[in-house]
Amino acid sequence: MKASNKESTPPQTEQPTATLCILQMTRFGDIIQTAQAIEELRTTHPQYRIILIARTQFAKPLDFLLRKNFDKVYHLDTKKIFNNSEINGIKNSLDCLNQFLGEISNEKIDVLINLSFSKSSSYLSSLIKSQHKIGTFFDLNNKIQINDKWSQLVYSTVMRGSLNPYSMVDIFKNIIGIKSPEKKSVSRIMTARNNTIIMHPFASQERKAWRAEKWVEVIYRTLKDNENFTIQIVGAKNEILKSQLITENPLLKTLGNRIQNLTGKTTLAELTMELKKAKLFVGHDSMVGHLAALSETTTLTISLGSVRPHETTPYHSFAYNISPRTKCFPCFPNDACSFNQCHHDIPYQIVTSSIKQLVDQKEINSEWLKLSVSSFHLSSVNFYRSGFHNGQMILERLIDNQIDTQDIFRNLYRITWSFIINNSEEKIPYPKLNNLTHKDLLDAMTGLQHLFELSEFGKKYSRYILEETSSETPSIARIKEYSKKIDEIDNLQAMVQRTSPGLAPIIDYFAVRKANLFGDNIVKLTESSYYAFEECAHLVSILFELIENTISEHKNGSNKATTRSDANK
Amino acid sequence: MDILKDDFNRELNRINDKIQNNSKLDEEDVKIILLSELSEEDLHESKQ
Repeated sequence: MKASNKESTPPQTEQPTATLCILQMTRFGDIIQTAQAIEELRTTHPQYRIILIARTQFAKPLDFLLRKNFDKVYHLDTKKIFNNSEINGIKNSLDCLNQFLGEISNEKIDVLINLSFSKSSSYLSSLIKSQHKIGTFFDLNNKIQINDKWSQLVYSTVMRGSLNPYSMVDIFKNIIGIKSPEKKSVSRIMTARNNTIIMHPFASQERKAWRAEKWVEVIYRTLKDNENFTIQIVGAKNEILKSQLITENPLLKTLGNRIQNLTGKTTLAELTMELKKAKLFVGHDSMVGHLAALSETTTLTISLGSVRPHETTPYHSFAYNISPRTKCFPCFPNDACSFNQCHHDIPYQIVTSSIKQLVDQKEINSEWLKLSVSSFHLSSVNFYRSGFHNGQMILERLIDNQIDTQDIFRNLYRITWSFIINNSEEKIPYPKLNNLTHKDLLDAMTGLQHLFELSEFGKKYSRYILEETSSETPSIARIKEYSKKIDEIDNLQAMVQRTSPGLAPIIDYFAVRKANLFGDNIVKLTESSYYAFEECAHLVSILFELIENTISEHKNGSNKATTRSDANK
Repeated sequence: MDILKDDFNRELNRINDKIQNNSKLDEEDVKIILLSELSEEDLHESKQ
């Protein structure tokens, strides 16, 4: 993707065959990632008219990007909606909202796709007329509805823990139904770029960013190690004071002529142009990394706090990620934390060594890490590099001797979800196990056995209800009794999560799946319930088999090692 | 005095009663809920 103010019109066809409306009400980063997903749709389906609904404060500054990918952008301007509302009350706000909805109603929308998963977007989705709706929306009973499986998966797993294996861009693509071709290797002419490193040492929350002192160390070491390079510090207007804490630090006094503080001084379009010229971007999880991805500028992201690297690492072929191996990482945004242990678990030396390697136009791989970075520093971090498989991004682990249970589960879930929902196969090698991960997988197998049995019971009682309803004299009492059994099964499935936390994605997914059964009568709802239990049993069987094979591989490997050592004796 | 806040309180109470009574909401109710959610999101954004 190229970011430029000049290329302003999306590819046009004579007669659009359908209108797709994307609803993206969240922040800058999500809008950029939505645009990345839509860019692929534009290539594969140029015949669609694609419109976007987004909030003014996030969409307007990204207009230079959005007008390339969308035929029209509708801005929901809450500043205007709530202007003087303390004095005028709700009526003016309602008039303003009605005017906005009136504009949208002029569009003949075939498919409305809500990609935001916020309450406001779900209510807005319910107010927009469309032939088909994908993503969350509320019905008139104020009950949330999610009819497509990818959105059900996102709703149940993405905000609930760290076991989601997909990048947000791929999640958006999967929800929309974009089948990406295998990504071709991208070549970049790096000599045409300036000797500039752009740093964004801030984030939306304190827990996601290092303190200024640590960034001072990184900047000092980087400038000392790379004498021909300058550093641009970028950020928003509200980050100016934080940037001054860095630039005015006495340690950087003699290097000030090689530091350009652009914080609060650039528009997003200007920042994108600067990123396009730079050789490297270094920062925390923020929209700047996503802007860097648009021009394939190498990114080195330091993930902290509640950031989930697999979801939000910039989506391109030259992304590196360093995240801590702290037990509580990633946390949840509202978790109490006074010490920020994860901030201390990433030593600045690993960042500066990586910067040196990357600005020297060399890649970072496992061999380099082993040879060039102290194992003392490596022991507390995970280091990932982006790669593409089946057109979707994966984060490849560069320190493979530290694979943890979460990483193993993420890979197993990636294989399972792709197979169940997209009917596609992921070829991921068996992970190396250690005693701890081996034990965790064995525990999960017990949980899966319980889940399988419960799903079979669920199928059985769903079938009993169907048989009862189709009999000549259906007994309401018996139907109630079987329904009660199904409720008990749902509760028991939820209890499995307590003993097998690694199975939370399956259990949560089925809770959402069961809450969104199809049908308006008992027969159709029960049939839908039967298929949900059947899908659960199928999913559980696949995961069970994958774990079984992983453990067998581990045992075979251990036996081979034993044989070899015995032979040596 | 914040008239919007008062309006929201009154309208949301009315809508909550509807939900408690298992009555269906209408589009106007959904618009009120949407405005209240947007207002809260704006407040949250301004704190960041």
